Amino acid sequence: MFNHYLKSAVRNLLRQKRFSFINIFGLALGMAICLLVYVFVRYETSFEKSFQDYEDIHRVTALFTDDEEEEWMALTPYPLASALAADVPEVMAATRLQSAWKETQFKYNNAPRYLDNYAYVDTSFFQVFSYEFTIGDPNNALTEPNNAVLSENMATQFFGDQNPIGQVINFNNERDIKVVGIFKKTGINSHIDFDIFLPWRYRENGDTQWDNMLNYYSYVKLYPNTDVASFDKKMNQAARSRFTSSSGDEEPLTVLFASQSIKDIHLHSHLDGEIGANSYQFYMLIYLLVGFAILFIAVINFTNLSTARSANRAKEVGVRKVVGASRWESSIQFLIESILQSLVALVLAFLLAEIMLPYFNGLLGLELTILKSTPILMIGFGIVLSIFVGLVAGIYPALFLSGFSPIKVLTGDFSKSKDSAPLRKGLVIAQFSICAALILFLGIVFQQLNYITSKSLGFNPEQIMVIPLQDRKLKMSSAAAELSRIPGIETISFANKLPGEEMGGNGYQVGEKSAVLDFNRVDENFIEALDIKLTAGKFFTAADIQDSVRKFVVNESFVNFYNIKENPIGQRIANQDGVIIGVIEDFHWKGFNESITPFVMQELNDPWLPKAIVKIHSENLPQTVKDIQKNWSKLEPGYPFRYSFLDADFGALFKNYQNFGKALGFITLLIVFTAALGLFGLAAYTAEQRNKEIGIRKVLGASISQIMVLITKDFMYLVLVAAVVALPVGYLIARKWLTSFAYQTEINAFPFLATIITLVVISILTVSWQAYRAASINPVNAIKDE
Amino acid sequence: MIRTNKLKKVYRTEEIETTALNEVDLHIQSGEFVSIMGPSGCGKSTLLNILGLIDNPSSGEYYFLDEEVSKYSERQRSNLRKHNIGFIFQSFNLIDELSVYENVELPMLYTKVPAGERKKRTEELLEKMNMMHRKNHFPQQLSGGQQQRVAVARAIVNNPKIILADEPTGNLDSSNGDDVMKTLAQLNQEGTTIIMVTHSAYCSEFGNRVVRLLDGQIVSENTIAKYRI
Repeated sequence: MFNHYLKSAVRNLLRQKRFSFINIFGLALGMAICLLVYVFVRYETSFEKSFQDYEDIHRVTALFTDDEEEEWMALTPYPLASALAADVPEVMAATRLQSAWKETQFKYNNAPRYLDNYAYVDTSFFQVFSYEFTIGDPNNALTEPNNAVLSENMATQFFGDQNPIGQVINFNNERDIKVVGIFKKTGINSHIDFDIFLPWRYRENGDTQWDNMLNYYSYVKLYPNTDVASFDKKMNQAARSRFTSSSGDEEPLTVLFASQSIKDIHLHSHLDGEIGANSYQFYMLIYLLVGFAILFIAVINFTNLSTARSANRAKEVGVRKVVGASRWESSIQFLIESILQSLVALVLAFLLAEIMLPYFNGLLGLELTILKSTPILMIGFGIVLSIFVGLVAGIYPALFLSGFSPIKVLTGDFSKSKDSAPLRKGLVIAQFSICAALILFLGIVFQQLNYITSKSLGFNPEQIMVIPLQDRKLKMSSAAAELSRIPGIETISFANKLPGEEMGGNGYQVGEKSAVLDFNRVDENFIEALDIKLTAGKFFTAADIQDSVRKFVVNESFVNFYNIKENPIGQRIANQDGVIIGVIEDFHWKGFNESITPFVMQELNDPWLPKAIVKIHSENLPQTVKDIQKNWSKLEPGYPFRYSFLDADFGALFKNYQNFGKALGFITLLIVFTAALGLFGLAAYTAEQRNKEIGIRKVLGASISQIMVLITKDFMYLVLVAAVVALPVGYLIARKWLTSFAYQTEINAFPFLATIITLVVISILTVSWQAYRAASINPVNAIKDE
Repeated sequence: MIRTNKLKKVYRTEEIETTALNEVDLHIQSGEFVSIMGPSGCGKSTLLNILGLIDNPSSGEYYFLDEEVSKYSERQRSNLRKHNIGFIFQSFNLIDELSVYENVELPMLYTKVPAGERKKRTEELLEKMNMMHRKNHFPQQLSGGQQQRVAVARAIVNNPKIILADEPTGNLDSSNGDDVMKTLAQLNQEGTTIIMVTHSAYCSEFGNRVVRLLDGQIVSENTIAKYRI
């Protein structure tokens, strides 16, 4: 019996090639996107799960509260982890991590590499995080200060096929480190994404401050079934009992610590000072939603075309029933047909997904694979997906078709049998509602992207070359002197951090109020180089560096935050023993997704390895860059010349959003295409059905254009209803998305109008060809047929 | 074998009520060959459809093999139908996507006849109908007469107790029509009960009884003394 069903399914597919193509291609597109979304979601939800007992591992976060706001940080004081290990019985192991704060030179065999994927950790690190060592022993790998542990990939990059153990790498021209262990990193998705782990150095007794300088990530592994709330309580008690104020006064610890399960970090944690940017569950949900949407649209195409063409199958159903088929058997037959189509579509879907994969990986900045790494799982998922899709797409047509009364279809009384047109109309409205919502959302996304890339930043990143200093022996003054000889350079400045980079955090107390704020160390030319305006007081001078009193320049938000608008200049910053000498205008150094926060600048001195900021004339730029390179190599002879341009670096802040816009655009295109494909099929069918009517109208004098309007307007009406239904939904999604930006574009009528016009144009283009064909038939053919 | 008691079929639309069958009492013995005749719209096909269990009466009783079946569900009727009734239509109603062989085999799939037996019976019947050489062809490649021969083969492949034929020669020329009628008569000779709706007096003479309908009622029943073979 199954063979029989299969045979008749294949023959039906082949007989109705155009409709089979629309059905299969639509389903394949939908499933291809689903496969991509599946590997993406699987990746996004896989974080930390490869660590043993990952559910018992927590990161400690710090909450700073003052009168007005709370600030959560991912960073904690240095002494916290050891205090927890010693004082809190629930802690099985505790460890600290400090990530590299800039690229550093690692030299092997005189070949330098610049890496920032390294971190300093405690010896207990591998007790908390169960990295698998291929060589070496995780328990004593980091006991010596110059030991290093590398990932397999990193070891291969450095040493090729040689045995990595015992190899020596020079670290930043300062010291030699020795490789003692190799760990496996492939397959581990974690917010801790480093290829080199180094033990703490210089610090064991040095950094004991609890209240300044929060630079350390603390992790604890708790005993199974520990009550996290009670652990948090004990943690804060332990911190308070151990706390000593760095300023020596008796103030209590104001910061509150809270644990955070590491499995929640990747999708949910967006605290200050994260190791790297984490994902948003919202985006994952959007991709999931979009995957379902396109599949849903393809399924609707299937349902619509199958029921629309039911007349072609009605006789078959009638005959089968007369010779003995039950309704159940007929339903099974149609379900087998739809599952078969869905399985054929699956093969095509894998092909399409593999073709689209590099593009998606590029947009997401990931290296996802579909069939390469887990073929059996993916094929299994694909088969389950296609059977599910086949059932969902086929169930209504199967019930509809199998419900035909044999007597009606066999006596030619088919028209009275059943009418599926209202359902089809509803489904077309559903499809185009999704299209309308997505097109509107996309329009608003692009409007926002345009807004954030064209809005004034408050500083000028153009024509600014950024050169990181690498040699601690190099003095800024000698670098400036060397560069100033080059014609074509306008200004030379130095700063620790540049706009777009994560700033350091520091505690500042003005009057009674204190808070941890972003700060940067800059030299006296900083605001000139970046074209930032001074609104009160003065900026640093070269002489300030020698001065014994610490001096600070703050932004307007700082002034507002501490409520010192009346007389900001001369205000004392108590815990730093310094005064405010100037106020600068607020500028968007974090881009536009975060609002401008209070910000402090301090004078820069030499040991910080800052970056040179070189403002160049636009004329003759390539020559100037060459000259700078030539002169610079004299300054840092052991180091290769490295530079970038600030506008490009800063632009990277928008890259994620731009990529999201591109991905959304691409998927919207696919969705609209799939919906249009269905509309095309339906229009073809409608034209076929109304053949006789069209013939009669033409005999009575209707012109081709009148006939085209007749057919097109029905579809247009559906599409317009869809737009009305969906625009509010698209608007709400867009509003939700916009909340991730501190600065949002104003939504005007343009994207709404553009959405409606786009949909109307698409549906006219889709339907009119079929309408034209139907309208140009010689009327006698249509009438004679009957 | 078949007995109806005050069988009634009424079609209702919003405004009009049409009585297609009006208290029809009919009794057909096993082995009979009954022709139902009457003008268009008299209710012949409606009666045949109800007798064939593809339609339900509005009221009245219908005994099929001594069982009252007028209130049967579609599932029960389907079950009775596939084991006991074969249908032949004016427009043949072969399935276009299935070959000659597969069309004939189809009813046995629904009665779960084993594959070997299916093959044997299908081939026997195709031989008998002289269609073996065309077994891999599709219906649209056959002439009307050939299509009806396939349809007859399909109708009898499950050895039904009764064959219902609705104008079986209506779409055929006289020679092909004659062939079909002879086949039916032959089947009747072999013991199959046949009920046939026809307009043709000539065809009705192949049977042993003619039932005439007018406006949904039986107006006469004649036994044919010497019928054709």
